Amino acid sequence: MRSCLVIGSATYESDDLDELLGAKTDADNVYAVLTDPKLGAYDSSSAKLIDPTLEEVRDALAKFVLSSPPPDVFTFYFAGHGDVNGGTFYMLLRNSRIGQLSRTALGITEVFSLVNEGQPQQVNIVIDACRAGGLVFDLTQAIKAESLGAHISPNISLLATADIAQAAEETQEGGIATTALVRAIRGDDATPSTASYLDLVTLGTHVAARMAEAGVAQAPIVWGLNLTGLSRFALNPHAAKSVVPLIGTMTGAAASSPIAQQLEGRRDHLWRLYLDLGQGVDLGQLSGELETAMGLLDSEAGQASDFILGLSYSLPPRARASGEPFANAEVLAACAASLVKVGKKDPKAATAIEDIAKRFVAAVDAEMAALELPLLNNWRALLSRPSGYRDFVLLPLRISKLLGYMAAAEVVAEAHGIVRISGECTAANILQRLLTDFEGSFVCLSDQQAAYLSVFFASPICLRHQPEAEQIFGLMFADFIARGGRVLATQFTGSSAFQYCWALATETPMPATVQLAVPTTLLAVLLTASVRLNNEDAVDPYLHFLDHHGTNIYIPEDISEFMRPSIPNGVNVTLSVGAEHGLGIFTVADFRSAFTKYCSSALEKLNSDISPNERIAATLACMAQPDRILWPTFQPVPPVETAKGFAVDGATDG
Amino acid sequence: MAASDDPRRGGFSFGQLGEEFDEEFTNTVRNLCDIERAKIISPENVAHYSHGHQWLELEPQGGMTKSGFETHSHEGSLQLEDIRLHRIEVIPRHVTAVVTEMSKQFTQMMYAEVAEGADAVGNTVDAKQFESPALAFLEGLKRLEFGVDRQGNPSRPQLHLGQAALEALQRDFEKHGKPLQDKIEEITKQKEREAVERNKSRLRRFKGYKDA
Repeated sequence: MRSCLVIGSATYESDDLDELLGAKTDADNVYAVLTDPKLGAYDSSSAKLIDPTLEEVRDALAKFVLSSPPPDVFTFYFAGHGDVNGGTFYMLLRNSRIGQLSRTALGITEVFSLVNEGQPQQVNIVIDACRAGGLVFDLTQAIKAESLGAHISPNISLLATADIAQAAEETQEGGIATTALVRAIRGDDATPSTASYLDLVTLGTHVAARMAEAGVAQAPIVWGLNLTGLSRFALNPHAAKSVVPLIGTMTGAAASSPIAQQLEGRRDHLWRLYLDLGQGVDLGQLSGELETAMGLLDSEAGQASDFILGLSYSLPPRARASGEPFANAEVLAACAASLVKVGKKDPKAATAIEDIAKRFVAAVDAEMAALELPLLNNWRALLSRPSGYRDFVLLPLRISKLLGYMAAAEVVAEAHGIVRISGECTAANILQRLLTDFEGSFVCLSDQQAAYLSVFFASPICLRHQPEAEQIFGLMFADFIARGGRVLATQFTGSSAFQYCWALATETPMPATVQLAVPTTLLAVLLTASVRLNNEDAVDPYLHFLDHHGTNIYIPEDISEFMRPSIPNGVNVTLSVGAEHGLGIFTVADFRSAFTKYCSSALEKLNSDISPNERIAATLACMAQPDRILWPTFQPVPPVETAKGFAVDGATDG
Repeated sequence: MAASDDPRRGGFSFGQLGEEFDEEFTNTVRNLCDIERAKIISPENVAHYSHGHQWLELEPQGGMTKSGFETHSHEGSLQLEDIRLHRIEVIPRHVTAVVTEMSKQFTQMMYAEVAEGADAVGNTVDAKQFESPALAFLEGLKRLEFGVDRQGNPSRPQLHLGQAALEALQRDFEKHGKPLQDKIEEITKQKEREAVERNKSRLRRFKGYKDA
């Protein structure tokens, strides 16, 4: 059952409240699109109330939300006056009185309480009113409660069309925000989503972008977390035809979703994760939580894919709120990567990976486009905010990460035949700029960089821009030699990074508290890159500087384990520079031979087992968890261009 | 710089890495400052306060004076160019500059405090009024009251001099020879005995204290 309650509060009994020209029009338009079977597809039993009293709204709310069984999807829309009093947001109705809001107006907390009591499977709340952002206060209050999660529906999305201090602009034709919302639901204006259903977070983000483009001084607030799959606010007029319905049929889903029941114990953690994303992405925490939650779901029934797909729409807007460029791309990479775990048994995994990976490409392209001009104008664009000594570490890592994400987007785009309007050109410009301005920052600090560089050197961009790739390789390898191959382990604290820099700068012994990468994966990546770039001759004369230095190649046994925080199975092949016996490397050719001898069979076995979508998810896993290398796509063999992409050692990547 | 004019955009998530790195810079400065300070003042005599910004000092005569924290600061600048070129050698250079300047300010403040305290009670010796630095030293020694350490052992006062003054004093001691040395030794011993006795008198005020 899909129910909506649409309220237009245009006229008021109180002389203190002006008539709102567009509220009735807004309610009419929203109700029309939501109850259109080809658009919103809400049941005909839904209701629209124009100029209702508080009591009428309360009755209607209770009727819908507390019905038995509760609705699968319940959407509440309000257009009218809004105000904040005592930290609570109120919607004003025909008989409301200014100064008596708690008694005469509808508090958002009352709506939350009813929703929590009724427990509809999915809840959407849209408020087009002045100061509607005030409802965020109430939500934060609710989330802070001891019983975090238990008092919040597992699926709730909110769109407040104005920030707490803002007025919601309107014309006779309706509110600016609602008009943009209706246009998107109707399909007059396409959102980036190609999924079967539009969720409110995607729509809200779209509305916010439209308003910003139009120069409207009104910043909508979008908020939403859906644990049981993609929220189904409305049908997507621009859905890709190949995408199958994600969660049952529109009306056939069970009132109490099995996914929600399975995740009951993780609900608090997931809400906390969602909230924390607004402060910045912790990819380790995110990946770990996804791994844990997915372990509770029935993969064979497609639950894991539904769950991840839903999150992949909910989390990026929240991550974007952190203000950190590329945060949403990082979240999408983690979401897609998590599906590598269920790629073989979840029937919906391939579709979900494809959907998320495509949005990953769009997100990277958008971030690169946003970076391009500022970076061309001022190299400081890549500095942290605030910057300072920390950028001695963050800047080189950021550059490596940028190369990795740029390359991963290329790999995904090529695999899915995505035509990028400006992505390739932007990437080329950024690459040029990096080499012009940041030559000194192409340094080897940590093994973490190995994952990003492996994806970069394995990607089509590397072959298209071979001179630049060679220059990057040369700078990194020279720096690796200069620091005697001493780089930090993949995981390190800022404190140990400082001590590491201090020891290098003062030429004093490395403190025991600094964990170096021994053996390092970065060397194997650089040697592999030298083969792929035909730069072996340039490397050989310097290898003796790395005498006794160990390098490691880890090959997992099963690709489904590739996103686990610590992969239990598989083999570590450790090769030593200058070792007298066994696996000694004196030249790059020795490295190639050893790689072939000791890694090939394990790689062949792994390679034969990876589907194209798993390969994409695993590539993105290297971005989300940069302590692993997808060696099947990055082997020390010069790549050969084929009609389908770039073939390496019998496998086609991309 | 207004936020909108700030060209820095950052990008990607690094958790607390940046904050931790900067914090370690501060910790390193603090640790090195502590080491420098310990060269002048024993760490056991360094007081730490969690609250307030002033404290009362009780004087032997029964009066009291208010003292407060003094701020030492040093302003350095990190060139963005150094970051871009990854010149990490500037890190120890900047740390050393901060520590040197902070230690200098601390030392100056300490001498100023000591001088001010001595001036206030008239317990000063003007070296210019004596024939030689060694005799001025002797006069200073006579006016001093020795203390004892936590174990009750007498502690001799510290003499802080610049290199040139120290060398001049040493030369002057050599010139005066053994008579002056004996005199100094005699006064020192006497002052030490007085310090120990004074300490014992103080300790006898404890009900459970017994002379060894």
